[in-house]
Amino acid sequence: MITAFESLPTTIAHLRTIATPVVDHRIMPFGIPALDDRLASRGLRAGALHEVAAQSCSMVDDAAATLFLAGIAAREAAHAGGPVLWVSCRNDLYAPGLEQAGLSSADLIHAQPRDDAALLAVVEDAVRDGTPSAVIAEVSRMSMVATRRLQLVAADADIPVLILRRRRNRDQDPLAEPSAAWTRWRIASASSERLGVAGVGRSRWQVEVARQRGGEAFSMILEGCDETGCLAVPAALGHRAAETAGPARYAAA
Amino acid sequence: MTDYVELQVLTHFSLLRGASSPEELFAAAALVGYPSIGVSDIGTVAGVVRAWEAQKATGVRSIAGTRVNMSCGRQLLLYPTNRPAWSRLTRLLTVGKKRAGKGGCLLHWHDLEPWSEGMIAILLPQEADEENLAALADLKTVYGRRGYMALFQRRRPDDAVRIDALARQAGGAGVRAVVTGDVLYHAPEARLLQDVVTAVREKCTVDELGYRREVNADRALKSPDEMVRRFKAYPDALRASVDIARLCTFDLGELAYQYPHERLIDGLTAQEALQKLAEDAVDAMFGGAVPAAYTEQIAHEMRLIGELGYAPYFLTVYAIVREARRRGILCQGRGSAANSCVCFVLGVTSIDPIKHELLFERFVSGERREPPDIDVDFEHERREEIIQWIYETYGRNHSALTAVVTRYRARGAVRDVGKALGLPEDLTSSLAGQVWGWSAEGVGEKQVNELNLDIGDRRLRLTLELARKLIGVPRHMSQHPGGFVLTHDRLDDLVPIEPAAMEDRQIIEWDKDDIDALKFMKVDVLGLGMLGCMNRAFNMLEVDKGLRVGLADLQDDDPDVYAMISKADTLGTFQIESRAQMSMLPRMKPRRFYDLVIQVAIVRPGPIQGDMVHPYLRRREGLEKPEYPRPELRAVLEKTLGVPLFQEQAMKVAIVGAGFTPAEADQLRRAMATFKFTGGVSHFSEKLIGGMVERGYPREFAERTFRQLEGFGSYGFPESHAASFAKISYASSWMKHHHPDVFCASLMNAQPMGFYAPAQIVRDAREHGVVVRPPCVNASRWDCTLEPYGGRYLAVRLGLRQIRGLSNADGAKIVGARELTAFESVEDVWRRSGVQRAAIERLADGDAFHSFGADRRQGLWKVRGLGEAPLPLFAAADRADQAVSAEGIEPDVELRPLTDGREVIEDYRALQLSLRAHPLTFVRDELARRGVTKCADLATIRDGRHVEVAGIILVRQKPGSAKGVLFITIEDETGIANGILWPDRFERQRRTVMSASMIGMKGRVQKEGEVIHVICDRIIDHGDLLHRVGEMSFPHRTGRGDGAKHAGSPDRGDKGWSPNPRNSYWPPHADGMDPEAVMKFKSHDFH
Amino acid sequence: MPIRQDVEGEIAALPAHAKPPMRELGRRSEAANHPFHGFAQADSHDRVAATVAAFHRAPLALVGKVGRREEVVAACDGAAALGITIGMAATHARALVSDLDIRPSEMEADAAMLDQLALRAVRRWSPIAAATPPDGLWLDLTGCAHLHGGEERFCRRLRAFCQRAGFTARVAVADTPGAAHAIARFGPADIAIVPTGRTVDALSGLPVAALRLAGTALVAARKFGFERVADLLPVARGPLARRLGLAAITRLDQALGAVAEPITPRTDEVMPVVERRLLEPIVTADAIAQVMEDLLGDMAELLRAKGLGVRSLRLGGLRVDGTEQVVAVGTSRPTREVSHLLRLMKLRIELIDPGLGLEQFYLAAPHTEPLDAVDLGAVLAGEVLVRDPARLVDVVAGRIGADAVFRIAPVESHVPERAVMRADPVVAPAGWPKWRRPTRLLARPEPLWGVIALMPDQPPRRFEWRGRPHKVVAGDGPERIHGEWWRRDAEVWAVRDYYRVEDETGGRYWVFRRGDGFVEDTGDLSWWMHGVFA
Repeated sequence: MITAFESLPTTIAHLRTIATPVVDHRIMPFGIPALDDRLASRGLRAGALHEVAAQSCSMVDDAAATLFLAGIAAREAAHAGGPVLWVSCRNDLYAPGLEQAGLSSADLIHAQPRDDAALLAVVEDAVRDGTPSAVIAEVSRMSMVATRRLQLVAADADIPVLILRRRRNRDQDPLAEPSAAWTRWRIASASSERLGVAGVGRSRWQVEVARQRGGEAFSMILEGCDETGCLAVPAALGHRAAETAGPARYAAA
Repeated sequence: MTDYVELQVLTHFSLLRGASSPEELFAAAALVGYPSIGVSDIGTVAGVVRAWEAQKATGVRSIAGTRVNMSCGRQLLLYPTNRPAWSRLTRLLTVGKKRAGKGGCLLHWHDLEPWSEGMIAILLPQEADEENLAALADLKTVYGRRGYMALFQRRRPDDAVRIDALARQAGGAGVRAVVTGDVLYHAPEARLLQDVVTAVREKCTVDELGYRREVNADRALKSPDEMVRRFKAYPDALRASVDIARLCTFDLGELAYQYPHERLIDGLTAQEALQKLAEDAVDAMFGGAVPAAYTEQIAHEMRLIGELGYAPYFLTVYAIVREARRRGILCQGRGSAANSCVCFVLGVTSIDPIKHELLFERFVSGERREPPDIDVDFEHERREEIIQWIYETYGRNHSALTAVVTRYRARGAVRDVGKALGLPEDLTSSLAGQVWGWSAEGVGEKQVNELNLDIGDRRLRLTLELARKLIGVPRHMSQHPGGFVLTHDRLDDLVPIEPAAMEDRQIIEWDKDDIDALKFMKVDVLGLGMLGCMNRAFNMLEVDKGLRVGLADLQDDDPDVYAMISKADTLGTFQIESRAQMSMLPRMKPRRFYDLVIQVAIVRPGPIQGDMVHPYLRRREGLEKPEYPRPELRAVLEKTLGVPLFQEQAMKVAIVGAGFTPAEADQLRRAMATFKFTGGVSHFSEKLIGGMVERGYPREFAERTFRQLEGFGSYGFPESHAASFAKISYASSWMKHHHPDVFCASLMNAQPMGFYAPAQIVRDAREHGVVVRPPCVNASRWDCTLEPYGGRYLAVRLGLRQIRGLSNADGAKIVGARELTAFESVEDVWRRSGVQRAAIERLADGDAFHSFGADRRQGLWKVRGLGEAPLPLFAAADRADQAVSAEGIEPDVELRPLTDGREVIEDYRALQLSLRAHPLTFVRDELARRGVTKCADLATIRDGRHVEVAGIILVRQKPGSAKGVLFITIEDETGIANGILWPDRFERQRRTVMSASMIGMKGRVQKEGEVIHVICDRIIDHGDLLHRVGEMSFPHRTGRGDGAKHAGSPDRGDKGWSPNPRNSYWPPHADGMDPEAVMKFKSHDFH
Repeated sequence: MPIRQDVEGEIAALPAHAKPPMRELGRRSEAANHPFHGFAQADSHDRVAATVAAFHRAPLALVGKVGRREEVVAACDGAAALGITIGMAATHARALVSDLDIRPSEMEADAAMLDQLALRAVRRWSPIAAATPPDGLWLDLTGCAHLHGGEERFCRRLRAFCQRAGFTARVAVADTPGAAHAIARFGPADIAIVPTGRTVDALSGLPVAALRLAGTALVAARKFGFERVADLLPVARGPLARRLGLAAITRLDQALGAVAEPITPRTDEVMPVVERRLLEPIVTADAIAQVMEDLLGDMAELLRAKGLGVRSLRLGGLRVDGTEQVVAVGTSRPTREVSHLLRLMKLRIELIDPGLGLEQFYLAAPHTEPLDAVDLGAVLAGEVLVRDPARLVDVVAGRIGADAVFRIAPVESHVPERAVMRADPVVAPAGWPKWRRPTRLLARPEPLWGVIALMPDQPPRRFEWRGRPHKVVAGDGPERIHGEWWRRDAEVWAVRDYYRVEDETGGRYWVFRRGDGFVEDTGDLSWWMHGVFA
């Protein structure tokens, strides 16, 4: 196989230069001070690799992680005006659901490679092409070398590469593997606010930053994506629902 | 008392939105235990009368209301609480309808306020958003405590949250919430039909409908208990629905009706005025010596009219008829009250009820208290004058036409459902073509098999099933051809008025049955082609022969005329000219007027389906004795020999035989007339049969009677209508017998009309000794005229109107230009008349230049040499100089003359007839060689002999009542022959029968009295012979009916007769065939 | 291509009426599209045979829309014998012959095929050839006939070829195109050669219709009794022109040669090709990439001159052993951008086996489309430019195949699994209604066990899924979704009541119950998991 990447300069010195946090990276803020303030670069660095994994192997946590990424990509797509490329070997994403997190079908191109190797190649090709505003990839196995390469091309093209690390089995933590990702996240679904009437409130997620360059790990509860992909901080717990819920009552006319 | 009343219900009068009839909805409401439900169609109250009627049948009170979709997107249900509020509602809708034009209703929010008093308004919210808050505030401003907001489920995500938020918004705005069900149909099964009507509305297939489908498909009427369960968290909103129902006390029965006042004689009441008019008229009629019978009858009728308070109505009809007479428009009244002596002396009808023993009581019964019914037929060309006169006289706020609810019939249902289900278009049209137009049964397996289709095909099966359900659903509202509602007060206080599609017309939202139910007065101003024809004939008689005759003068039963009728020599006459009528006449042998009345009534689908024809004929011929199990039936049925032939008799039988009240009998008539027999008829069947058995009739007799009544429910004829038509039949027969020349000319001038094409009319006239002359540019006027020549009759000169494609305006110009001197050449015609070259060409086609020796081909050659249109300046110069013209300097071109056969064919092409010869004369020798008998010779051939007759196909009929038998009529140069082809034979020879233009019918001669049929074994295609006549296939045109042009002219005697073009006259397909007609087997007689 | 030959065999065996009509054409190549082209794709010989057999069992008619009605536009001889005529309404035809095989006509396909034939004719028979729609070809044989063995031999070969290809053909050779046109259609023989100077004689006996007159002129001619061309000849031209129209006279003169009628030949477009011969054979990927770049530069130059962009490119390399290595790439939009095309090409380098070395390359663009200069208006106006995804799509498709790149487009269906479909990745699809939908949808709903729920319209209180119990703390619904009754019987009354439920651990699920809880027909009340919310 003849590839152009063999010739990439991979000296330690070079790695060091690109690994050093630089203030003038382009940043994608979440727009939530509570979250942005705790991130080293006050948001996500645009030209970087970010990894997200579900807290547990349950499908609901996986769905929360999926939508967390979709929201980031949606905001970036709205900002940059390019399509989002979603690369996954599986095919169970439900597009209407993604659209409700702000990532409409008009902004989304799907690629379904046969295996992880092809998947990584597609991601690299796509980022190098420079068209997409973000690339999301669902990967279960990814070597350190691969993450490093993706981080490099992402930085080069100034395009976010968002990796959904899927679990290969129940006990394995995908974030236990080493990675050159800029940030690493763990997402789980959390109980929503109880409404006074029959119904389910806005989604809530347990969002955990497991690792970030130049910053601390932390964890917090956030409300899930709205229709523009924005997260929110839950309102302080109150008794709004109990007070005002329920039907209005009148004296008989 | 329940805890909930449904207030948001659409019926199928919300066209192509609702899927259930008011009857179905109310039946369902009764079943699940509603004490009352509200009916609120979108922008209309068209369904409320039906709902009100359904209330009587089910006991569920109907609350009349409407739903308005405002221009701003807000939607409101409006319910009037009392009678004044109802008027405000109708005025409001009138405003919206006037603004939107036909069929729409466009209202802005600011329209509501002036009409809000006494009105309950329920806002239909979408989401609990800002827009809704604003709407709630506006609602509160306009309606105050009478404003409500609906809570209804959508069965979509976050439904409970939405309802909760809405309830809270309403509470905050001080608007009371009310639970509604947003009902679109009566039972869950109707969901399929709902999707279909949505697809029809959206003009796509159900597959393509996508999100345009009703998102919430849970729209059936639910029980009050279920609604209470669903909304148990909102007890007040549930209670609100009951409170609204209690507040809305308005009942349609309160719409008291007032006759318009006629101011004919000052200082007299209506009754006195009518009395005086009648007395004066009868005095004038008998020159002072009034026979006692008339005086007594008039006195009797006046008493009855006085008791019932009908005098204003009679005066109104009289006023209209008087106006018509003043304008010289021929008219004739009919209907239950028309055949009274009062109407006769006032000239409303021309039937002398004393002489013909048609008595008034039978038609107007005191106990039924239904409004009198007089329809007046006018010449259809001039009916519009009368209509405009009525508008002007009574005012546009007081007069309007009734609506006609055009409902799906089998054919339209199959077509629309087929389209919605994505069947190929030609398939649906062939399916639709298989249906006999009036059918209420839909397309069945039988028709499918006839088309070689697989009934197992799912879509096809669904189509047929759903089409059957769609039958009877209103498709659109249009105007009644002449049913006027006249009121004393403002009409829009009673019912919304909308502008009609035709300019200067306005219509109300209710149709004649609704009007009937509400006991409004209605005058039918209808057009009748034959009256126009008769008026022409009477005028011609006066001008050309100096004879003054009118309809009313023809009271004596002339035996010569009846002799002609009995011979079935009735081509062109009114009503008794169809083949079915003709075949009956020799057996009926009518001898007096009442026989004609029966003749007109008996050859109708009702009596035929009810199997009444044969018993009657047998009894008339004395083969069977009339059967009267009980004396009271004898009184009812004696005149018709024990067979119920008229609607009145059917109702009387129910009353005297089975103890129905008059109101019940009327309901029975209506139940049988409606399309969907939703449980109504079985109820009546038990009651009728049971009642008769109870009164001592044999059960078998009772059942037969019921079948007979059921048979003609909707197609039966009232006696008075039959009498009125019989009068015109007699008059036209009289004219045909005594003045065939006048009859022929006036009939030709009244074309298109009737069953026969001009060729047959002319041929018939010539057989009766009338000379007919071809159209001529120097002799013809636009209409056919009479020319003296010294023979027994005057000669008929065909008019320029006979020439195909020539417009009336051009015809008139040509005749006008001829005024001083006759034309001398083609160019002369062109220059002097100033018409376009194309019109001159039509004249050449019609061989109208023969008077100056130019045959068709030469005429045309010269015409084509002319310029497009003569320039006036040059024309003048040319005339001055007379010598030089384009024609003059052209070299002569010798053209091959047309063959005789070709001339005949061109005659048919341009004139629809030929005076030269019948095409078959050219091939008679060859036919004789092939052993073919002439049609005329059939009369001399013994019964049972095998023959072959050949001719051009005139009519192919496959009447629905005749179980697939095909009737064929062919014509040769000697006459016509009638053939019968049984279904098994037909199938084998389908192709020949359907495609040949000239056929031979080979089979057995069957003689039944004077009726001769050929029972066909084989149909032989002689098309090759016909081709030889002119090297071209033979061009025939479709026989047309005035129905095509003048919608609703009730030639057929049926007020609702649908205006379909007549096309039983089959053109050969190879030339000018209407492809859509291929599968149509439309009969004229056996509907 | 064995299958094609089989099919041609089948065609030859067909009765005449089953063969589509085709008149007066000329070419010899087998590459023409014939009506059985579609069948030839079928891999089973039996299937082809069965189809062909079915084909000539029933009389065939083609119907098309003429104006607002469906009518017969072509009928096979068998159908014609049964009385089916052109111009007859489809319904009428169906009623006349109950087992008539009615198929939709494809006018555009017919025209395209005729055009293809014209193109072949230009290439093989005569440089001046043109299609005369709807069913004919004109060849100018001047100076060409001898190449094909003389006129007569040429005609025979032409007709034999057409027969092989499945067409019924008639050939006429005459002095003027008009006369050839007339004689080919109305003449007595299938092959007619009119000797030079005898045109008038040959035309005289033909009906006037042979002159390609307009409908109105034909009607007029018939009215004056002009049946044959001979009838027109003695009539003075002036009066005749006045009555039949000048166009009619021109047609007559064209047929007789009094007025010239040049044939506008079908132009043969040349496929853009660029070539490079190398001084010495190359084997390395870098070298090949270099050649690719050079060739692409040449190609771009060529395309720019023609205003074209490529949709597909074919690169051929000749090896020293004389064999050829071919790779191809496609693009989703026409382009001539070298860098983009080069990247696509480079993905194919690994497929090239250089062997002992490649010494000659060519680059061809079999599929090109017009490509105008980029409209810069929007850019200059300062609008946010939405990036064109086409290049990205090409890149990804080049790597994993065109099938693996797609968009998800909406299908207007309330049934969740039917609401989505894969669509062309280049075109941006529309969206869905705002009803809450899960993030991931199970390909097949999975059954739930141990469900406790209050009927008829409450969400479950607990359920077991994949062996784990869930206690529900909040729920929304039902969202009622009805079966699509028009699809199949099983869906007519079917109802799914969907609920969104949240369990005590914060997991949100989309579950449904079959049936509305009232009517049995609507479902068996079993519970299913269909998806998860975030």
